Amino acid sequence: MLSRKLSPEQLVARRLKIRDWNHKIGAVVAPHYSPTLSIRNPAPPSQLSLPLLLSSGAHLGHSTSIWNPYTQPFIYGKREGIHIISLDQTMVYLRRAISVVRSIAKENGIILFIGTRNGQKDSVVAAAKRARGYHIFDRWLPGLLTNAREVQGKLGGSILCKDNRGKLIQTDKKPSYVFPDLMVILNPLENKSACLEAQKTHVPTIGIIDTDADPRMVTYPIPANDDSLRCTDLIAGLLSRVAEQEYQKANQAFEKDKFTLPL
Amino acid sequence: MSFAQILRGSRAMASPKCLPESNYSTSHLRFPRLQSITSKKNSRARGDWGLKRTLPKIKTRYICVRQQDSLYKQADFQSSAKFVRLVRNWFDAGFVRDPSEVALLQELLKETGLKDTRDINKVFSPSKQSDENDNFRRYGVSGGIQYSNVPLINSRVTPNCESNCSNIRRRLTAHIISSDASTAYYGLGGLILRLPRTVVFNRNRSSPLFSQEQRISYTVYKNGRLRLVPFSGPELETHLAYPSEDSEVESFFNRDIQLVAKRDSSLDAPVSYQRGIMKFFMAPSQTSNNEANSSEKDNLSNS
Repeated sequence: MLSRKLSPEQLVARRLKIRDWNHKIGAVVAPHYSPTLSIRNPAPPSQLSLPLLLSSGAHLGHSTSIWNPYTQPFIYGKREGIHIISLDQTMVYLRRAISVVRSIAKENGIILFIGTRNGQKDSVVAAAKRARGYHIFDRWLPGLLTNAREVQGKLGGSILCKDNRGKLIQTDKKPSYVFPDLMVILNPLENKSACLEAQKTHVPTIGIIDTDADPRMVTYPIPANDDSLRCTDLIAGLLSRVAEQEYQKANQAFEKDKFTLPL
Repeated sequence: MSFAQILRGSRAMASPKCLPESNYSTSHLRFPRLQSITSKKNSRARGDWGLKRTLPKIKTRYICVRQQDSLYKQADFQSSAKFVRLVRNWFDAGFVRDPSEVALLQELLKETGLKDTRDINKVFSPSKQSDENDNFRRYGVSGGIQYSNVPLINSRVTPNCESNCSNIRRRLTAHIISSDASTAYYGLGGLILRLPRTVVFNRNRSSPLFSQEQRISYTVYKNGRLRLVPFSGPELETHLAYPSEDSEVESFFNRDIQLVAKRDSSLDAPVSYQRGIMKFFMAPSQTSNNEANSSEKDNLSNS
């Protein structure tokens, strides 16, 4: 007995029927905690609060033996051999950093995210993509800003143009050097050369300053724990979400002006 | 809320302080001094244990942290899985009621409208006495579950080291007295953990025999009562058979044991010793005498 062959229309109809049967099977899984949730869907600045910072471990400082005295205003106390960072100070500095990112994103500035530790690659790449900026997760190339003629010249290509016959020909012109308008450094102590070059080229920087780092290295310090992935994911996601909101706001304004233009 | 209030109520600040050092150099191998920490599987893969810095990928599931950060920017931690496993085994064996189980029971009571946890116990054993200790679980079921406790204790609690050259031979063996009068009713008469003799090489190298959990033998009687007596025999009287540390004397477990022993001392139960094995008999009567004789013969044949 040969099996009956169905036509393509009948196969599609059968598939839809089976899907309707199986659509109601199963349970709806409630949203649960995932360690990568703060990377995929970071919290907006309206949800920033002290319990959120505390749960991410932002208040845990370094050992009391490797303490930088310039971070004394940020320290709340010490317990079990480590310093406790005051989250009230963290909240103030973090809000100032958020306002800086908002003003730069409003002017369509270039934001560069730097995070060179293990595990920070995903959060840095996602943050840069969300903020329409750039990211560095391997190594800061020395001289990227101060020696841009030599370093960036080898990195970039050349400008192409079309000939009279439509053929692409290389020109002698080269692209201008790219300088970021803002640099967000998640671990400034390990990227000290990046901080120094940013200072020399007058690029503002936002950095997470732990109790063993110097807050004068960066322009806008954020006193927090830079060794915990949970904390760095939170701060990088927060700043990138602010920039994303500004870009969406600009697009909405353009959409409004679209209907008022004369025909 | 202010930062101080949130910090005071957080879990990281609520960890207990470590216990002080004991006189014995190896006492930390038997008693945990720090709080054990665990984490979710996906967080553990990233090294996120809720501490200052991320830890490397380690195979153990439970750790205790001595120092979160140091001069060399490293976290000092070690595995504490054996303590967690031991506590879990005693919960599963049924000697001590699991606190999380008690919490669930309280929630069930609120839903069902009952007033006390003893109301549930009355369903299984209507002849419950009011002065019994609630910290110990009472057996209200037949012997199948109780039989499964024996290989659980014998296989998991026994340490792995079994060399003859060590100071303490920590081999534990369980003997089942299957001819007791209560066997016909419950299936398991009594469980006695036989403790071997301690080898002492030098007076300076002596150490406590066993932890408090390992000095217990119990018997289930016909009416469902559980009898717990601290093991005290002629071989162990001269080797620190009783708790010797302050934290052990004042522990709730020791107080409960003494309470049970004091209550059971009113019974006139004869005790006989045969090669370190201690047996308990019920009150003397004609039928119990016959059962006692048969049990003696069985023990002789077993030994």
